[in-house]
Amino acid sequence: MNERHMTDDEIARAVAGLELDGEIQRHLDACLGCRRRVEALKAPLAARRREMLDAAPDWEAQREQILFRLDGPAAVVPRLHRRHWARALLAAAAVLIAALGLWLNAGRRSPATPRTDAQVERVLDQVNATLADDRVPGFEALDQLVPSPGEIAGLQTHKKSQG
Amino acid sequence: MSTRERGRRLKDVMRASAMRTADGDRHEEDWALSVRAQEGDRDAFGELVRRHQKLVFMVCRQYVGADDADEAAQETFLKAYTKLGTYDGRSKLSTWLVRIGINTCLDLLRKRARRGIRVDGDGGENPIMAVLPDDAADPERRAIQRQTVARLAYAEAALPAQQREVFRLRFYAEMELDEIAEALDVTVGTVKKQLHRAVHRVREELEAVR
Ligand SMILES: [Zn+2]
Repeated sequence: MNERHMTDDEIARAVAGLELDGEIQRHLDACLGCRRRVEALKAPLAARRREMLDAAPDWEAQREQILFRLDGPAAVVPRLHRRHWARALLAAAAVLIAALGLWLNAGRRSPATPRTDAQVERVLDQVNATLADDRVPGFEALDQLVPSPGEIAGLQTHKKSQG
Repeated sequence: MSTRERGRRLKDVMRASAMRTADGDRHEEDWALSVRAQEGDRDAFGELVRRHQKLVFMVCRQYVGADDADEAAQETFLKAYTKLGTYDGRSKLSTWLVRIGINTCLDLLRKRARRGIRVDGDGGENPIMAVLPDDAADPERRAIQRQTVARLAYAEAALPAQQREVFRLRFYAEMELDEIAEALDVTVGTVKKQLHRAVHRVREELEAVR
């Protein structure tokens, strides 16, 4: 065995797990004193790691949460689509009602008067204004009536956990 | 990358003789799981999470501290899921995930800094107050160990940023030197140098109080 004990630098290399000179490695393997010096730093490092792991989440629960959250963005997108779809449907209905009114009126008036065009424009403007107004309660009510896929998934999980 | 290309790449990977080690097997399995996950197989993605969640959590723990590590780790996997198509199998999946994890944490730290919250890798925890496991049976030894770990936490916090980063990834996330190099986009030589310096400094700090 090499009689020279390891330098501080060599001890640091050993702790870091970096390669050591063959002779130094053989000394470390045989010298209890040098091994103790290496251990003196390795032990608190291991203790600190354990301390961090003790505060780690439950892995199974974390995995379930991640998989559940994969639905997150998907739950937002259809919600927006549904709103647009509802708006489009309401717009189509409004236009249809307006057109029906105009058609019924047309039976009593002469067809292609400029007044009729202006009427159509005005009705369409009103429809646009109504649809542009986010405060119109009908849309929120619709959102509440139709749960999003995320909400459905949540309800199902809730039911499962109850069952 | 198309599914066909990914399949071809998988075959290449499987053919490679260098991959016949246990580590290589793991890499192959990760690759196959990532292909399945990208095709919408949630069980495959769940298995990837199971394999790497401890590493990802421990990496995040080093950057954002105990309080936010779980959330950062979850965010990392959610981001990884949406980016699976960009993973080409050239690096280990674990290294790829670590990179996403580090970026997620850095984003979080930037947000914290903007909100004026102290940027501290330990989430502001007081190391002296840290609760230690009861692994040293003798109360006197336990007290000494507790003090040493507290000193270690202080010594570590005083390291220059890059040394601290390498030190923590090596000892707490237990990453290999080449993985750290790839994740931080530096050479293995740089990692070795920084780690050596860091250990040297921390050792000096701990010895100084003995
Ligand atoms: Zn010795």
